[in-house]
Amino acid sequence: MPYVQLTPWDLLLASLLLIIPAAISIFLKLGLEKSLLIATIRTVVQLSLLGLVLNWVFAADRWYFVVPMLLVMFVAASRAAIGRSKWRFPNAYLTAFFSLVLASSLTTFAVTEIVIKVDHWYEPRYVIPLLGMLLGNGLTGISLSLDRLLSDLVRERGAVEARLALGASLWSATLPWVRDAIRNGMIPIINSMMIVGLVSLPGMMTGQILAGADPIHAVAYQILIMFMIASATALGIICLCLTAFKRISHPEHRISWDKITRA
Amino acid sequence: MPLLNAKNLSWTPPGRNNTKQPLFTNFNLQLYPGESLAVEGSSGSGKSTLLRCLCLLEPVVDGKIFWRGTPVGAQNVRAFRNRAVYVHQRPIAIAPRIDENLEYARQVTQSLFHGEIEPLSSAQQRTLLDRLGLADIEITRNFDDLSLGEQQRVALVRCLTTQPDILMLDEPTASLDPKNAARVEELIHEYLTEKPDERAAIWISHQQDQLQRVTTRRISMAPFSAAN
Repeated sequence: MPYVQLTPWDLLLASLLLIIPAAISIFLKLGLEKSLLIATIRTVVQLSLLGLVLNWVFAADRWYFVVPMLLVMFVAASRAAIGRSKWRFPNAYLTAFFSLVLASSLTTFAVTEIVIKVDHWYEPRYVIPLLGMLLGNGLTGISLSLDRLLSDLVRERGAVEARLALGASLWSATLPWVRDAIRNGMIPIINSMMIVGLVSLPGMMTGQILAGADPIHAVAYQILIMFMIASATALGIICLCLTAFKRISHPEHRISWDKITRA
Repeated sequence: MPLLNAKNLSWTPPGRNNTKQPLFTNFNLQLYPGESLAVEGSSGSGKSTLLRCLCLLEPVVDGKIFWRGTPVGAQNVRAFRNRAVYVHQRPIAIAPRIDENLEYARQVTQSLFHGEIEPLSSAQQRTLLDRLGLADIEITRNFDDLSLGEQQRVALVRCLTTQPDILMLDEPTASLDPKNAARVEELIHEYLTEKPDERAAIWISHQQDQLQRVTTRRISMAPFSAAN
C-alpha cells in the first residue's frame, strides 16, 4: 500500500475523536471543555504554521532561514523550561537559553557532521527535527533539575548551614542536593531508554515507518536520537545546575537565600 | 588580642523595602580567650541572628569581623567557621547516620588544616557521646530517629569534633532534662578550661541560673528603639 496523504477533510473527520474527551468532560463536569477547545485550535494552528514555515525553510535551504528558526525554538524551549519550575534564580531564562543552546547544538552538529555527514552544516531536513527533539527532552530535564535543586536547598537550608558552620565549602555543603537534582533530571531519559520499543513505538520512528521507511532504518535513527537525547539532556542539566549554583552562591561560602524566589 | 572582634555590626531583615527596622546597629563585641560570654535579650531581640552574623552565615549589612586580628572574608571564612563553630539551636542532620554526621565534621577539619589541627578521632567522639549519656546509642543509627535531646547532644559532639577555639552555643541545653543539661555544661566547662588561653564561648540561654553558672560576662541585645 502506498503512502496515504491526509487531506484537511480527513483531519476534520478524525477530529470527531475529540467528541469523546469533550463528552466525558461535560458528563463528569470536569470543566475541561474550554481548555480542550483551545488546545485543539492551538494544535491545528501551531502545527499548520510550522508546516508552512518548514516547507519554506526546506525549499530555501539557506542558513539565514535555518538559524532564526532555531533561535525561535531555543527561546520557546527556555521559556517553557523555566516556566515549569516553581522556583527561580536571577537570570534563569538566560541561563536556560544558553544551557539549551550549548547542549543541543553541540550534540546535533556533532552528529550531523560526524555521523550523518550532511552536505552543509545547516541542512534543515536534519538539523531542525533533531534539534527540536533534543530541546523538547532537554527542557523537561532542565526544569526537573532546577525545581529539585532550588526546592531541596530551601527545604534543607538548616542542614546546608550546619555543614557550612563546620567550615565546609559551599560546594561540599550542597553536593548531596546538587547530585539529587542532576539525577532527577536524568531519570526520564534513562527510563525511556529502558522501555523504548517494549511499551510504545517512539514518535519519530512511527513517523518514519508511516512515511514508508524500512523499519530497520527507522530503528537505526531512533537509536541515534536516544543517544543524542541522553547526551544533550545531561549536558544541559549540568550547565544549568552549575550556573544556578554559581548565581546563588556568595563568595563568603553561603547561599544568597534572597536570590532564590518562588515563581 | 581578642580572639574575636566584631566592629560596628548592623543587620536588617532582608526585604525589598528599605523601611524595615534594623535588628541591631553598631554592635561591638570583643571576646578574649578564657571568657564565657552570655548574650541576653528577649525572644526576637536578635541573639541567634547575632551569632549567625558572627560566623558570616548571615550577610552583615555593615561592619567587620576580625579573627585574632585578621579581618574575616571570602578567603578565610571557612577556616574561621571551623575555629569558631556555631552550634545551631535546632539540631539538624547533616548526613543520614550518626557516624556519618561525626565523620563529616572530621573530614572538613582535615581538609582545611591537613593535620595542623587534629580533629577528634572516632574513639574520642565515642568517649564524648558516652559522657553525655549516649553510651547506649548505636552509632550507625539514623540521626533523625533520635529524640530531640539525643540529637542535640550528638550535634554538640559533632561541633566539638573540629576542636574549635570558640563555641557559639545557641541554647545548647534547650531540649535536655536537668541531668543531661548538667552533663553538657560540665563538658563545655572542661573543654574551655583545658586551654583557657586559646578558647572561649558565647552562650545564648533563657535559663538565668545556667548563665549564672557557666558565663563570666554578660551583654544584652537591647531592642533597636531602646538603643536609640
